[in-house]
Amino acid sequence: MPWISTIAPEQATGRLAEAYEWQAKRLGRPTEFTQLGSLEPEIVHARLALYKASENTSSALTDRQKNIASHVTSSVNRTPHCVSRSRIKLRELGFDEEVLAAVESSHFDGLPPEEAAVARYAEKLTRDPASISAADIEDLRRAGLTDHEILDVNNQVAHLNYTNRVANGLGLLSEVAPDFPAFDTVPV
Amino acid sequence: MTSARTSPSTPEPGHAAGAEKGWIASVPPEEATGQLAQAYQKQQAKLGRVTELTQIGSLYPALVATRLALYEVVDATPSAIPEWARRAVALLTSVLNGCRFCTVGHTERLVEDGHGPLAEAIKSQPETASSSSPPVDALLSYARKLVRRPGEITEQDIQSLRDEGWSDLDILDVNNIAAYYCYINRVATGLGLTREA
Repeated sequence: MPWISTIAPEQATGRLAEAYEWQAKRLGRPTEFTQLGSLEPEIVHARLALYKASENTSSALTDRQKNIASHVTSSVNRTPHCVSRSRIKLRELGFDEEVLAAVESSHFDGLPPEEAAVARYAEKLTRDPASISAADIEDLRRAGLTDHEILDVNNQVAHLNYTNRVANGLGLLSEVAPDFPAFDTVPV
Repeated sequence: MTSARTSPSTPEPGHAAGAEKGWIASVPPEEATGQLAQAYQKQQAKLGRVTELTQIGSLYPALVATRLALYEVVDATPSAIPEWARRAVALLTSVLNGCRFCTVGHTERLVEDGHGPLAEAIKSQPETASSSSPPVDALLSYARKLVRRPGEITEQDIQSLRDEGWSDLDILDVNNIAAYYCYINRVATGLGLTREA
C-alpha cells in the first residue's frame, strides 16, 4: 500500500475514470503507479499522455537500448517497483540473468558497445545531471546514435528520474509479479 | 515535415545573443508546423516566447506537447501549498541537480513574491537553506531527500509532512513538483542547455 490515499478503479468517476479506462483498454486495469496520482485526475491524464509520447518516439533506438536506459536509471535510483518492470522487459528481449545483475550494479562490460554507451549516459545523467558534457554526447554519436536517438535516450532517462521519484516518494515499493505484462502498460 | 538544424552546436551568424541551442538539432519557431507549431503557439501566448527548453524536444512534437501539458498541470495542482513554497521546492530541486538553466525563472518569481532572501539561501546553501516557516521547511527537507537519495525515502518522511499539517493532496503535489523538475533538469543538462537562461 502506498503512503497516501488513492482511488481504486471501481470507485473512480469522471475524469479519473476516463484516465483509468484509457490505460485499461490495453492492460485491463490501471497500474498501481497510475493510481498514485489519483487525488488529482489531471496529473494522471498528463502523466499517461507523456508516457505514451515517450514510448512512441519512432527513433531508431532499439527496444533493448531504450529499456537498458530505463533499467540503469531505476537501478541507480534504487526504485524496486520500476526495476521489476524493466527487468521483465529485458528478459523478454533476451538478456540473461548474469548480464542483468551486472547492469543493475552499473557494470556494463557485458553489453554490446551500442548498449553500453546508452547505459553509461543513463548512469551519469541520473547520478550527476550537471556532469554531462558535449563529450558524453559524442560518445553516443560514436555508438551510432543520431540526434533523434539522443533525444529519445535523454528523455527516457529523464522521464524515469521523474517516475522513480513518484514511486519511491509515495511508497510504491512493491515489485510486480514475474508474469506482469510489462509491455502492455503504455496507453494506446 | 520541417527541416531541423543540422549543426546546432555551431553558432550561426545572426542568431540571437544569449540564446543557447544545446547539442542536438531543434526546430525553430519560424519553421514549426502542425502539432509542434500549436505547442509553440501555446507557450508563446503564455510567456511571450518559446523557451530553449521547449525547443530542445522538437524532433518529437508529441514530446513537446505532452511535456508542456504536464507542466501546466504541475503548475495548477489545487493543493494548499502556497505558490512561493512551490517555487522554493522547484528552485531547490534545480539547484541540487546543478541545473543553472532552470534556476532563473524560479528565482525571479520568488523575488517578485518578496522571497528573494530564501532564493539566495537555496542557491548558496541548498543542503541547509530554510524558510521562516516550519511547514515549508518540511517540504524542503522532503524534496532534498527525494532529489538526492530517492531510494531512502520512508514512510517516516511522509509522516513528517503530515505532522506539519500537510494533507495527502499536498504531499502528492510536493512529490510531483520535485520529481517533475528531476525530469526537466535532466532534459536541460543532458542535452546541453548549461548556462543560466
